[in-house]
Amino acid sequence: MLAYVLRRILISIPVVLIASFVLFVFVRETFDPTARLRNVRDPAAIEREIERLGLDDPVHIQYGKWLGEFVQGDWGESARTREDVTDMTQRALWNTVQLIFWGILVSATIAISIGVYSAVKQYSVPDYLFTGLSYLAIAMPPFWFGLIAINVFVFKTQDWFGLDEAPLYFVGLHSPRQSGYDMDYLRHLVLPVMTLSVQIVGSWSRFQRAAMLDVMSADYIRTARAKGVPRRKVIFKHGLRNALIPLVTVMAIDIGLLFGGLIITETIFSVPGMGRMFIVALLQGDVAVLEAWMVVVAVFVISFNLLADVLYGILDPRIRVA
Amino acid sequence: MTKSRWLRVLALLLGLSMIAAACGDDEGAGEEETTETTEAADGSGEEVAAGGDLVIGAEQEPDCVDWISSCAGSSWGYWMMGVTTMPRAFDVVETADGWDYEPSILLEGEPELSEDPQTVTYQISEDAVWSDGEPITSTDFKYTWEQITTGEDIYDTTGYVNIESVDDSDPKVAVVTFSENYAGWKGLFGGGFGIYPSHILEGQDRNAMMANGFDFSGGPWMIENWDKGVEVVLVPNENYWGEVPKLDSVTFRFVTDTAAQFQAFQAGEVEMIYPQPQLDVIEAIDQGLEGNSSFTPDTGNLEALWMNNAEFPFDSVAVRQAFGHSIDRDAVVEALFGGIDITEASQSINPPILTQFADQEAFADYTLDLARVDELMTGDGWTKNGDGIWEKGGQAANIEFITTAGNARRELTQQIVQEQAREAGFNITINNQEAGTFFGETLPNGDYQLGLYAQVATTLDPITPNLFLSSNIPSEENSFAGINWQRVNIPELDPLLQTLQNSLDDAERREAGVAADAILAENAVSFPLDPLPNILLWSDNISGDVADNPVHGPFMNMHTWGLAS
Repeated sequence: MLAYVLRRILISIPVVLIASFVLFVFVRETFDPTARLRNVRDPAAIEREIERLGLDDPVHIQYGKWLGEFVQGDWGESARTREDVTDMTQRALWNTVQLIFWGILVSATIAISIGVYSAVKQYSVPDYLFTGLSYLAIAMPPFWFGLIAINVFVFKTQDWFGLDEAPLYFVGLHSPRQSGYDMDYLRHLVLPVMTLSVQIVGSWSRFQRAAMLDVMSADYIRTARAKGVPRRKVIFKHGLRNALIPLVTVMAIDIGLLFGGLIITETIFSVPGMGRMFIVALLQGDVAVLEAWMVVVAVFVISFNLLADVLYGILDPRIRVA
Repeated sequence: MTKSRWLRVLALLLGLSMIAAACGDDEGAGEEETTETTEAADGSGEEVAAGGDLVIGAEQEPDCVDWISSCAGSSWGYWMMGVTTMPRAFDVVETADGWDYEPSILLEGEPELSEDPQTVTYQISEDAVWSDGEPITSTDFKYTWEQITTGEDIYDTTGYVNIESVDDSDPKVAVVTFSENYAGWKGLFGGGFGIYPSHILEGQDRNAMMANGFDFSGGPWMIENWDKGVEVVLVPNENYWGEVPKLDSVTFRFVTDTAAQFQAFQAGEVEMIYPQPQLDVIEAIDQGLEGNSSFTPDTGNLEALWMNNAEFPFDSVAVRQAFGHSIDRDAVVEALFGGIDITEASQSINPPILTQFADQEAFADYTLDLARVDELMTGDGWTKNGDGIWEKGGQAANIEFITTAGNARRELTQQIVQEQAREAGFNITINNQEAGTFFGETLPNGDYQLGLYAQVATTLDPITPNLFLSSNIPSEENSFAGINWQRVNIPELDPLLQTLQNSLDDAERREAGVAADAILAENAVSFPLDPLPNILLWSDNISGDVADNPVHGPFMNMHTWGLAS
C-alpha cells in the first residue's frame, strides 16, 4: 500500500510542475502586470515594475525565478492592494474550505442516503420523486437557487411565522464583529451550504443509485441473502461499500474542482473565498494573484485525484498493485 | 415508536430550534439599549439616541487606504475611511447658490490668499489634534506636500507640483507659496488625500504603514479593524475636537453583488446602502422599498458620448454637430432613470455640481433634428449611399462605439444611441472592452471613435482644463499621462482654459469658463448625456442628518447619526 501511494505521489510531482508552467505562461501572456500603472502620473513607475518582476527576461527565466520564490512561500505581492499574496490566498482558502467542508458533509450524507434508498426501493413512489428532484436540482442554476433560497428562508419564513428577525442570515459567515463557531455561524452557513449542495446532491445521488443497483444485482449479494445475512448488513456492509468505490472517485474530482469553483455562491453570500479572489484578480489583471490561485487550485485538483486513487485502493484491495 | 416517526420528530425539533434561535436574542449582534438622547445636529428637533452599532452595506472594498498612492483612488474607500478619519482644509457644502468650499473645522476661518506669488496662509485651529492627542500642525501640511511631490507611485500630483514651499515655522500657521498660480488651491490639503500626520509617519514607510489600514485619525472616527473581504469597523475618535460620534461603532460590510445588497437591506442585515445607478437598482426602487431614499442628479458625475476629434468621421466639426442632432439625449436619460423621475439630459460637459465656472446650458441647442443633420452633412460634402448611411470620398460613416463590458446601463444606452444614429444615417457597431483595457490602452492611445464613460468630479474645480487643454493630449511630452483623450485642439480654447486653471480672480475664471463652454459646444467636442444620480437608501432606524454629499459621499456627517430611540 505504501509503495502504491509513494508511486502515485511521485507521478503527481511532474504533473504539478507542468501544470504550473503552462498556467504561468498563460497568465503572463494574457495579462500585463504593469497595466494598472499606465494612468499613474509617475513616468518611472512602469519601468520600476518591469525591473522588479523581471519582465524583460525570457519566460522560462521568469518561471524559474517565480517557482523558486513560490516554493519558499513567497508568492509575490498583489498589484492591486500591495498585499502579500500568500496571506490573501490563505485567508480566501480558509473561507472556501469552510464552505466546501460543510457542503461536502451535507451533500455526501444526503446523496448517499437518497441513492441507497432509491436503489433499495427501486421504482417506488419516493424513488420517482427523488429522481425528478435530482434532475431538477442538476438543471437549476446555483445563482437562481441562491436568490430564491434567500427569498424563501429569510423573508418568507419571517412573514409566515411572524418572527422578529429572520431565522437565517446571508451576508458573510458571521454577523458584524462576530467570530467563532456558534449559532450565529450556523445561521450564516445554512444558505450558502444549501446553494452549494443542491446540484451536487442531485448528481451524486444519481450516481450512487446506479452504483447500488449494479452491486445489489451481483451474485455475492444474492449468496449473502441466501445464507441468511440480515438485510441491513447486506445493504450496508456488502452493497454500499462496493457501491461507494465509483462514487468516491467522482467525489474526489468534484471536491478538487470546488476549490476554484464557488464563484457564484461566494458572490451571492458575500463570502471572500477563492472564487471571489479569482474574479477580482481576473478583472483587474492582478497577475501574481492569478498565478498563485491557478497553482493552488491545480495542486488541490491533483491532490484530490491522488486521494481518490488511494481511497480506491483502501476500499478495494484488488486495486492495490504491488 | 417506529423509525419513521422518530425521523419526523427529529425534523420537527430541528425546525423548532431554528425558529427559537430566531426569536431569541443573539448576544453581541444587536443594538445596545440606550436611554440617552440628544437633539439632531441639523436642529430638526429629532431625538438622536446615543449608542448602538450601525451596519452599512459597502458595494466595493478599496484596494488600499494610503490615499496619495496609486493603489488608492477607490471612491468607496474615500467615503468610508478617508472622509471620516483624515483632516482636510475645506469641506464641500451646499449653499443657496449651489455647492461651494467652506473652511473645515481644522481651520480658524478662511485662509488668507495673496498674489505675486500666490501664497495661501492656513490658520490651524488650536484645538485640532490627532487621535493620540498630538496637535495637527503646519508640519503635517508640509509633510503631506513633500510626500505627494517626491514619493513613488503617487496617484495624482496636480496642484501640489505648483507649490514651491510650505513654511512650518509656526506650528499652527501653514504658509504655502506657489511657484505657479493654481486656481484650484481650495481642493489641496483635502480632497481625496487629506492631511497626513508627520509625527507618526516621518521617516517611516508611509505606504506600508497605511495601505492596509491605520490606527491614527484626525477626524471623528477611527479604523478599529479591517477584515479583508468582510468588513471595516469604525469607532469614535475620543480625542476629536469637534462633535464626537453618538454611535458606538459603524460597520461597513462588503456586499458586492447588487441583488444581494438589496436583499440584505430589505432583510435588515444592513441598514444603509449606496448602490450604483444601474438598471436593476432603478427597477427595485420603482417597485417600492421600505425605508428612506434619496436620489439626485445634482452630482459630480457626468456620463457622456466622447468623440475622438482626431479620428474619422469625427475629425470634422460638421459631422460632430450632425451627430449631436441625431440623438435624442432626453429620451436616453428617460429610458435609464425615468423610474426615479430623472428625465433630462445634462447640457454641460462639466458635471452638474460645477456651476460656479461653467455654463450648465451650453449644449442645450443639441436636440434631435434630422433635417439639421441632413443640412450639416450635405454641407460638409456627404451623401447617403444605398444603405442610407452617409458616405464621403468612398468612406462610409461607420462608427465603432466602445464602453466598459458588463455594464447593463451603458449597454442599454448604446442600443438606444445605435438605433437613433442609424435612422440619421450613421452606422454604429458596438465593441465593448474590459475596463482596464479601455481606460488603460484604448482611450490614451486614441484607438477609438466613440466612447461612453463617466467623468467624476472630486473637487469643485472645472474639469474642462484637464480634459481639453491641447497640452493634455497624451504624448511623449506628458509621458502619455494627459487625459485629453478626445484629442481636442482648438487654438482659441487653450487661453481660456489656462485662465480657468490658473487665474485667482473668480470673476475672470467664470468669464473664461463660460466662454470655454460656448466654444466646446460650438465645436461639439463631445456630448454630455446623463447626470448619473447618486442613490442613497437607509432604514427608518437611522436618525439624524442623513444626506448625500456629491464630493465627500453620504458618510460625511455620520458622527451626527444615531439609531432611533
